[in-house]
Amino acid sequence: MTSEPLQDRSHAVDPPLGVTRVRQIAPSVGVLAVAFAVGCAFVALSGGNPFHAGAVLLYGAFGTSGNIAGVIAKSVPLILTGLSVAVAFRVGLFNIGGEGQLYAGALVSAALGATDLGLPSFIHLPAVLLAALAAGTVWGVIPGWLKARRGVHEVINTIMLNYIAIQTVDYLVSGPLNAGGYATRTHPIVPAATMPELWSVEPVPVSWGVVVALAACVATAWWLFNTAGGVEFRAVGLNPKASRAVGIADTRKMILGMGLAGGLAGLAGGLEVVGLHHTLYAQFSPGYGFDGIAVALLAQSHPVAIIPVAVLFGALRTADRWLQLVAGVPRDIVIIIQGVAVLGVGLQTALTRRAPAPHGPPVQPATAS
Amino acid sequence: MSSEPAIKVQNLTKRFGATVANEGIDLTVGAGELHGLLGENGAGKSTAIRAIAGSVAPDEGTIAIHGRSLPLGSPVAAIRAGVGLVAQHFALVETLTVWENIALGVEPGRWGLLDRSRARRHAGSLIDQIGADLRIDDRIEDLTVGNRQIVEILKILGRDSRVLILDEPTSTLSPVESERLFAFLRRILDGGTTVLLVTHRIQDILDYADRATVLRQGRVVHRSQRGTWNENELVDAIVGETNVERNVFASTSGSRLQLRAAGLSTNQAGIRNLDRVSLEVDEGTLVGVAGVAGNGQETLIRTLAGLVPHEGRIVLADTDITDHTAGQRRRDGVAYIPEDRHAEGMVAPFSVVDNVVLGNHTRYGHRFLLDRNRVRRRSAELIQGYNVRGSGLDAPMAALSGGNQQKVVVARALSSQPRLVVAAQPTRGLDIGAAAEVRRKLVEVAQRGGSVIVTSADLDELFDLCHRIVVLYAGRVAGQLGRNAFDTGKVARMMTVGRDSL
Repeated sequence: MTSEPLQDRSHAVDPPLGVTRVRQIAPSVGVLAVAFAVGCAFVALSGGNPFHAGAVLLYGAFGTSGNIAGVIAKSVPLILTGLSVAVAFRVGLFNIGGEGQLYAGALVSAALGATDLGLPSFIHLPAVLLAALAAGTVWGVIPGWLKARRGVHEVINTIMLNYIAIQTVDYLVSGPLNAGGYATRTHPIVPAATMPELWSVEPVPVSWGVVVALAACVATAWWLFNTAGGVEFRAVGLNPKASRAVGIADTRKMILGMGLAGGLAGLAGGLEVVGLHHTLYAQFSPGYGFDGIAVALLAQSHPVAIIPVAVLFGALRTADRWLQLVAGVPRDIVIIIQGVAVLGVGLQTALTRRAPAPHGPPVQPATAS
Repeated sequence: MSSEPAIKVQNLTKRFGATVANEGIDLTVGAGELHGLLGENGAGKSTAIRAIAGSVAPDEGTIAIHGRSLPLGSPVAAIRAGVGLVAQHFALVETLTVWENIALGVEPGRWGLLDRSRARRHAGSLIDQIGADLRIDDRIEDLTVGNRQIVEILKILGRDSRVLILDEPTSTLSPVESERLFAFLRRILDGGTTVLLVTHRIQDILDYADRATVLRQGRVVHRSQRGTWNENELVDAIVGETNVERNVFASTSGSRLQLRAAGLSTNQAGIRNLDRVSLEVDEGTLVGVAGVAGNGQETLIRTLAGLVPHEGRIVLADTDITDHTAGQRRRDGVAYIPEDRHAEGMVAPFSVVDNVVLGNHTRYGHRFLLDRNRVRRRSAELIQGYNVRGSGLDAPMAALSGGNQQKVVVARALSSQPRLVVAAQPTRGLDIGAAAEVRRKLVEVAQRGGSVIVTSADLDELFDLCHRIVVLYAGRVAGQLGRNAFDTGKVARMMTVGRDSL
């Protein structure tokens, strides 16, 4: 029995940062490898050559500057919705409402951004984005409040709020807010409310929205790990009862968490409108709010790990049509890869849940008392 | 029954990484014997019994059950050999009935259909055989903790176990329930079953066991048997050289009123766990709350901590804190030590550092940014003097042994210099040394003018520690006794019939 009274000897016991990181990342990388292997098998089954398909995917995502811009355009909303889901996970809640919050944010920014208010861009644009954030926050706080104060399960409420937001946008875009003409879309965003271009490239330029999304990740990570509020937030996620017993206002943290999650998804919607489409289409999102769940799971809810995972998913979603066109295999293989990855994460959690603490011996911590 | 011993363990050795949990353990338990296995937290008891039950594969050694050697590390082989392990935490389905729980996993039937009447007969005959005070249609959730323990044992016996291993069966039981449990064990022993009893309670061994083995730091350090043993010898064997003083109490009863709770009632899903409980506690006073498990003691502690909605008023040193949340009460000077440290006492994946200052992180930073160095210095300071042992301040809380986790929980609760400490079974499951340390800390609170309200299933502990004992029965105050009127018989009567005279 070698244990000694605890002392502050952090330098002696901490493994080097790199080692810890590798241990954390390894499971997700493993899951992705399996997912891609399954993808290759399906390519082969459909009569394609996996290596060829892989090359086509790589080219489709990163082969030209236009393709890269396309990947970025898809990654931005995925980063923010992934972050949204991750934040909710950190406080122990499951935000399936990212899609609805995204629509809420998009709707408000389309409404506020389409009229020239005579304001300079440095006021109008931030105001529009803040409004998108606020709308998403409201859409997140509702299920958060119901969960924290009334015990209604957030999964049920976020799903229902998704329908309300999507259908409301459908109605408004084809009715009161319709710009006329054949397309179901709203009036275009005025220049003062448009996100400026960061990289002008054909066919779709990259806006500064990508910087906003990256900044959101860094800020969230910083808040979660370096502030007292963040530590308490995570404590509630890991053990709400113990947190309450030491006086942390756990219900308030839950409402905050859902509000924050909603705000991030709302911001994603706002950026889609002012940074990419410059108008609001009905059904503009291919399910970013739901893909965010997969992103958060694979990133193990780490705000910075969200970024590479979102880019990977964005790349797959951008390059998938090339699979069909060039490699001659169904683009749905990309969805299979995503699905296997999510399944793998779930399986991993299920298999390791009963496992011992990471540093403890398998049965009982055999420390002398 | 053959003359072979029921359990014969030779040279059992098990290492976990660098730590040696068991080293060369020899243990022989005769058939039909009640054998006590004693030792502090982390002395290697759990590892040894898990090895016998097959859930741990030892590195070296042999295990024989009734003369037949057992393949190591195979739970199935152990069960086939008749070994049944009753774990410390119950594995019962609370919403099902007694017979359903007994049948669970070994349901009689054919073609996938449950043979209800056979399962019910089986459960009924088990209960009749040993004369337990149970009905097969009772729901587990309606049973007392003591009866749940008995159902758990019946479940194992129902699988034809001839060698029963019990892990801390009395740690949650009241004295009366413990007595009943041992009467029950006596009957199954008379029926030829062998019992290996793991416990912290020396009294259980002295009163009921035939022989005892003491482990310390993974080795056997003492063996003795009925007739030759005495309490001091066992205590010395368990804790090693150090002598444990039992009466740590120094009377410093103050005069000013610290807490006045009046008419506390709770209503949780229609159950009144507390029914108009009133309580006054002076400064510098320790008050013990006794009662059979489930009579409102834990609810009283949690109510005072601000975790249970309640009626009635609570005044702490002239401040009415009735409407204050748990967080506000903590700032008012109420410190809470929960009964279930896993559920309410700690965030297991967080480091020891973060657990020590949990709920106080906001104090260590400039506005938003957390000052990690201050947090870690402060938490190292706070657990100094608590003799917490483990692999480092940054190790996850889950990696500490139970006793050390509890020390961290107590250190955190007492770190804020509380006026009032409310503690639910703070020494439950701790070894003698750790329990004495926790008691000493509670006395220190009283010595500097604070007040303590503490529950314990161990009456002796309350007698040693407290100025006054309040007995709860069915959520009401059944009576109070001052220190000079402490009397086991009186308290036991109040606990079981609700008043002190029959």
